[in-house]
Amino acid sequence: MPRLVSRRPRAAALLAVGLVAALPAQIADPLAFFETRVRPVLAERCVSCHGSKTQKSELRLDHGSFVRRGGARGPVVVPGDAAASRLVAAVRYEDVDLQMPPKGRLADAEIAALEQWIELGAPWPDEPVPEAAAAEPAFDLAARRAAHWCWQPRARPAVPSVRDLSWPADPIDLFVLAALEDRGLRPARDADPATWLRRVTFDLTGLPPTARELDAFLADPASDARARAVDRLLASPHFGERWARHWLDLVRYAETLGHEYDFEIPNAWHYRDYVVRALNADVPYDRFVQEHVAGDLLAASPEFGPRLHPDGFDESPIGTCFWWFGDQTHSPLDPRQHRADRVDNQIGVFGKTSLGRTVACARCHDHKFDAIAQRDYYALAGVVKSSRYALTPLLPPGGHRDALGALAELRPALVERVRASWLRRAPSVAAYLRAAATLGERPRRARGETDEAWRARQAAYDDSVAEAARVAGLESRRLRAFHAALPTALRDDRGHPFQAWACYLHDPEGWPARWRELRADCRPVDARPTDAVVLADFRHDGYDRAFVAGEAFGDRPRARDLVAVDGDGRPVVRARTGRVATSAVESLRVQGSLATRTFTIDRRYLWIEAAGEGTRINVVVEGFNVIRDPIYGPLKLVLATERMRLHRIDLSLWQGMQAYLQVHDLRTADPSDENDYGRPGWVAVRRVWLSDRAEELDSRVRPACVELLGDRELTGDELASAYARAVEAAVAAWQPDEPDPPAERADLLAFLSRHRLLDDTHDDPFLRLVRGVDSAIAEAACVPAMADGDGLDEHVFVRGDHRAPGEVVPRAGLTALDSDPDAFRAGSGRLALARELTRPDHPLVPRVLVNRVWHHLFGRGLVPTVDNFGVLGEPPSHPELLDWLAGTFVDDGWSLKRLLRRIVLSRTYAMASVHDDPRAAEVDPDLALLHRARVRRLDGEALRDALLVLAGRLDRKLGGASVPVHLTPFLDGRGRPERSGPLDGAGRRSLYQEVRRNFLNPWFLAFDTPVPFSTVGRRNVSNVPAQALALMNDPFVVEQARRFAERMLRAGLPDRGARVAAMLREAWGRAPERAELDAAEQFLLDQAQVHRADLDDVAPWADLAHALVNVKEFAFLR
Amino acid sequence: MTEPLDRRRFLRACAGIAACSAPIGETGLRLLVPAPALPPGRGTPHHPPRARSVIFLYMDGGPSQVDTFDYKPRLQREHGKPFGMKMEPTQFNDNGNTLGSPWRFAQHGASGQWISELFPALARCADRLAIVRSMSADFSEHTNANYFLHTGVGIQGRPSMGAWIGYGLGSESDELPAHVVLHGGLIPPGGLDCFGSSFLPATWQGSVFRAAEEPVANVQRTEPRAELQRGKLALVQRLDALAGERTGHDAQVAAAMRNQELAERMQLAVPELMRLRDESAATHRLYGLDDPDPYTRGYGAQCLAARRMVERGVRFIELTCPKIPRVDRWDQHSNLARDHARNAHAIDQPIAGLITDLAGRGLLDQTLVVWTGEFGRTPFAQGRDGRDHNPFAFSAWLCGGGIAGGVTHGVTDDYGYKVVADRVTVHDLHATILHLLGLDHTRLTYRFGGRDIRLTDVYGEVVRPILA
Repeated sequence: MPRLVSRRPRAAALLAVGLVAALPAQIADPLAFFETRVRPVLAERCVSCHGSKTQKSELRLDHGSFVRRGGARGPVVVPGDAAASRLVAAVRYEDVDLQMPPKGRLADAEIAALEQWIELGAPWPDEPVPEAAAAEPAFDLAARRAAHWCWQPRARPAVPSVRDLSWPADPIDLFVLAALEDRGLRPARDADPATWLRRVTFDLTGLPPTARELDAFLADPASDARARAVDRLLASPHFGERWARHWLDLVRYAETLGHEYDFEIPNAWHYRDYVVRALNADVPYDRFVQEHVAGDLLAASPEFGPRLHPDGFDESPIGTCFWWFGDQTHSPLDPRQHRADRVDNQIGVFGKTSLGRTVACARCHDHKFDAIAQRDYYALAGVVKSSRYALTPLLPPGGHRDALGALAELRPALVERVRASWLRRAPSVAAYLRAAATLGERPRRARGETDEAWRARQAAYDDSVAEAARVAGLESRRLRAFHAALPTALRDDRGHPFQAWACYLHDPEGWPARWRELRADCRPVDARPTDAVVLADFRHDGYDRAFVAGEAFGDRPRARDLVAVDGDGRPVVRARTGRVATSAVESLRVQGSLATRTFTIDRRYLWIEAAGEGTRINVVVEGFNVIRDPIYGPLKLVLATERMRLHRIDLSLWQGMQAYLQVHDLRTADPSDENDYGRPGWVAVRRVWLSDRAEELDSRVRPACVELLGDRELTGDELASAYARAVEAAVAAWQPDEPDPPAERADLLAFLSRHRLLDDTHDDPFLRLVRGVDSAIAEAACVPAMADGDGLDEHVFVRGDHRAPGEVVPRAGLTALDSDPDAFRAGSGRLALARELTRPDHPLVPRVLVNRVWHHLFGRGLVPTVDNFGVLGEPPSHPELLDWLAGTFVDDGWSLKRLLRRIVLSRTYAMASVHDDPRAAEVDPDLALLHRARVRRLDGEALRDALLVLAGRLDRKLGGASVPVHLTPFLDGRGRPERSGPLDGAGRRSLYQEVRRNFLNPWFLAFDTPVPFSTVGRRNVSNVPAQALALMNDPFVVEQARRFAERMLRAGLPDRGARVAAMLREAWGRAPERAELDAAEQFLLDQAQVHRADLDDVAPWADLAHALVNVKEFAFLR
Repeated sequence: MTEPLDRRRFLRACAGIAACSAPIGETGLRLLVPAPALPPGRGTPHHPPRARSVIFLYMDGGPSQVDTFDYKPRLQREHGKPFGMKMEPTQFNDNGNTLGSPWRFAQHGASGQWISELFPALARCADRLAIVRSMSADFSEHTNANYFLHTGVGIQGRPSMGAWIGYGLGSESDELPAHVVLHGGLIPPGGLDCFGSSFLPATWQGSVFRAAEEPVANVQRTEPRAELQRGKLALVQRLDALAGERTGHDAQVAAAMRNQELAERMQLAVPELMRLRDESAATHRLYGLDDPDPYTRGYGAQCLAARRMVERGVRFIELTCPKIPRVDRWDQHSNLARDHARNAHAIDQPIAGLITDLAGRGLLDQTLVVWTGEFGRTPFAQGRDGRDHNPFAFSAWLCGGGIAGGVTHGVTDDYGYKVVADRVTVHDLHATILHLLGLDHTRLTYRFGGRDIRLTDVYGEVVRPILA
């Protein structure tokens, strides 16, 4: 299927017209021509795909009526107009999107015949319509829904009656026992206490029980010993870590984007920690789902409200990060295709995770088997596409109101402090200008210049600056700043306040003439007709339809100067003219972003009038946010200008596409970008528009310097003093809240401040005070969350082809779940989706979740296909139990911990893994009936963590940035991190090992940790030699075994026998037997002999430790 | 694991082993037609295979078709002139004029195959090659195109063809993995996921081997003496046996115990496999191991190791390209003449040696050798002296088991820019490879996420004209 984009209109067929236009007249009998020249071509080359058997793209070419009707993408033949006929475009092969027949081009004569035939009006003889192909049964959603169990309302089943009333401990057991008794089976006996404790400890925390925990449990005679053990485990912070890993499998959690450069997903780990916290806090699952779907919208919704992190910020938005953990390429030629693929992945993950449904199957056509229409897919696609990727600062509700209020109060005093000090210095400007003029050009490094030579020239320059300062009695530092800030290159910059000075510097002789020219430079306001489409104009009192997030941009455009202090406690003044959307007035530390509404790119250029430092503006085309070279680099502006300027972005590559503009003032930079932003900064935007004009005239009538210095004669000698007077006047006249000061004055002040030409060097206690207040504005982390954009309904893509838009479908959830599109009108509709998903009577969401829990505890779900409750999935083994659990779960306030507690305290969970009745295995070979416990291999994470526990090396710290991947020679390729992480992952739990898509940890890969590409609720459990090799030879294992031995040698155990027994017990979580102890002791002796070591040496003990973790009992749960 | 099991026992073992590599239980066995005896992990093909192993010579970066196998005199004639066809957007959009090939082409062998002077040694094997000039891909960006070429889907995370083949046919070696990547220095863009097993069982993921002392991770024991390791493993076996006496052995645990024995054998087999010095001097010369260019020697070692793997029953062997300093794979956005020549020199003699050696040992009939990049390059210049990516047409060749030698298939336009006849898609290439191994690409399926998924998605046709 051709997927490459072509942005060229289909003009190619025009070439053909000249060739054929003259021909029709010569054809006497069009029908004969058709029969001899055209029908054979259609029959031989087209009809196999477009005939009675198959109708690709819903097109048939075996009868005139079909030909005229066309296919899924509309008419293919315009009778009489070959150039306008898509059939011709297709056979001519000019357009890479549409080449027919796909396997090879027709002969030129055949193409010409088709063109002539169309020019003749595409005649077709009157003949009977061939029989239609056997129609597929129509898609009947209601019938399908009625026929499949998963859509049905949940039953509230009564617990079944059983014969053996002595066995059950919980209603769960009644359901299980009833099914066993039905088949004439008995449950297995209870597992012994040590086995049970090891099982439940790994299941709930992913860690082995410690020796002390085992001792305490075995010594506890109380009848509620198990319940207390479970409560202890559920209260352990490690519980959240364990169950977070299960959840991360569902959302394809990764910290990089994969593909060629494996760029990072900024701060992805915040999401991982968020999941851990939520699980530990037992956040109700309905709330957890709501946060995943619409966490960014909850705080503002009275129905839901925020959920606060202990540090005071609303952490609900972090849930939405999961949408963005998919892989992404870095320079797609067709961003629409890329977007369609990404949305497909998002819908796939969303559907499988929450609904246990493969909605993504309906991308190309109505679902083959399930009650999901293609329209359903595009209804959801509309919801997803109306939402945007947004790096979102995690802020307390209401932001940093107190600190900003205090800064506002300090502002007038700060202004006066700055003004006073600047006024003091203003007269010295003349002296600094004159001294700087004596210095010549600043040195620049020459190509090929050696370090040594360059350093020497720099030193010489330093000396000359110091000398000039000394001679003139000036500060050397400030003189250097003046010199650096005023290069002669400014001489052509009409808007620059020091243009005149630069002209003078450049050519003192020519000064009088140049000054006359500058004064005569009076341009009319640009009155040319404009084709501009204004996307945003912030000179008005309101953000209109722009989207504002975070707290930096306030609630409306502002006409106030930025007056703040930076991190060093120095004043920062950015004076302004008129109203702008600005991210800073009192503080550089506030964060936020601003985005325009979505627009269609229908002009060549995007024009942006903006200023800013340490901030960035992105054009996001078709939702594509990896804005990098090649191709996408020009879509970003990294701002470093104190003056408002016009910026132009050429959009010719993306004509016709959807885009929006995003303005960021954030402390988290995009790590996929080498540019330095993400510092405390500011940005101000005045207007944004689209235009085909390649040049826009500056709106300034006269040069800024003329406005500043006055339209009068000035000799070169007078110039410096004139500037000093202008500076003094500007500082004196400065009113930071004046709505419309002259632009040249604002620009002059901003320039002086940016280059620190007037700042005092001494440490001002008042400025320190302001900085202290400012620093209360915490550096909030930004997470890759979602934000609502315009609510835009999506078209059905015919056959999944984004180039073939069909009908528009209103945004909604699944029809089979009675979703109400009317509720989705506001914004993207995610809030409505969140609401629908967490209805207490939802048929799927609670069933899917309890089934996942069951799967993790028993190694097999009640519905074994945990991510697919559809027709192609497997039906539940215990449907009543499933519904009973789901109902109980909802009634228990969607509490995962209560659900887990109930299940692990059931008799069913407590069964041994052996059964003494051989018939049981015949009747229930795959343990679907749960006649005994399943033997389960620990997953790679638990194995690794258990090794760290034995080694005494486990760092039990919770959360934080990930530990870098330990790189081996086998982990190679582009995007390889520069530094390797430690072999033992710094002793941190497996959960905290970095997940870099292109450098996945080989240990985890060998043990079936899923590749993060889509939802995996049920991992493979493979059993391969690579696992044995890892346990035998991986240096990590060998190192932990040795530490285990060393720890036991230091443990103060009375003798060798006690030490051996303790090691076996720790490794396997049970008391060893005599034969096992004997074998181990004999091994120690033998091994010591081979080592020529004695038994106080660590070597034989390390060998024993290594052997013990290779014993299968270590890796399996019984 | 050499004794045959009966089918029932096998099924049971599988259900346990791969524990719920449930898939094997669910669907994997669908492709196993009933057979009297099936050793574990060894599948049965759908039809009689023509080849038993595949050596996939992956040309990272996208070699230029018009400088290698797709001779275009018109390109030379119009060198430096404006390009005569409409140019599609390219990755860098820095498109210049028509760029004639810096290399001469000549016809070779009895079949008269056109091959450029970049490959003098390979040209002597011309009569064994089926050259496909009409390859096309769906992506013009390396990583997407790589995933597409390796997995049939242009995004990350699908099983690679080596994994599919392993899954379909199983392993023929008790000591070596079925799917091996011989790492020449360049892991392709997209990383190890090009060789992953994704939702297929981890058994079938590509094991990355280096041509080095320790060719594969964890295969070298850490104990200073073999005796020490033997002692440990004996204790492990003893303790496992004691545990079995207490509780009876679960199928999974039993499988893990067998894996340990297998792992022990692999520790010997793998280093032996890579001991290239056991080969004769003549063989070394044949593979270019005496070449002054270290990258030719390196690639020669990979080719020779590949032959040794074929002899030992490895099913699918991929060779990645050497990492030549200052040469960015075959990705010559600039410096085409210099760097294509360097790449070609590194692989030419080794590949010719491989084909000759396989033929001489009677192995070529059962080994399919495939050479291709992820896309081709533009016939017009990028900048002054480079070529940008071109997914619309590129060349591949196949030889060995089931392939007709001396055949050229497919036609591009006069510039070699786009396919005009007998298009072969990546799906078609996959279908053909599977076909030659005895697998029907439409029946090799695995259920994931509610769908029966194939390597070829819903596409793919076997390219019959190149079959013997």
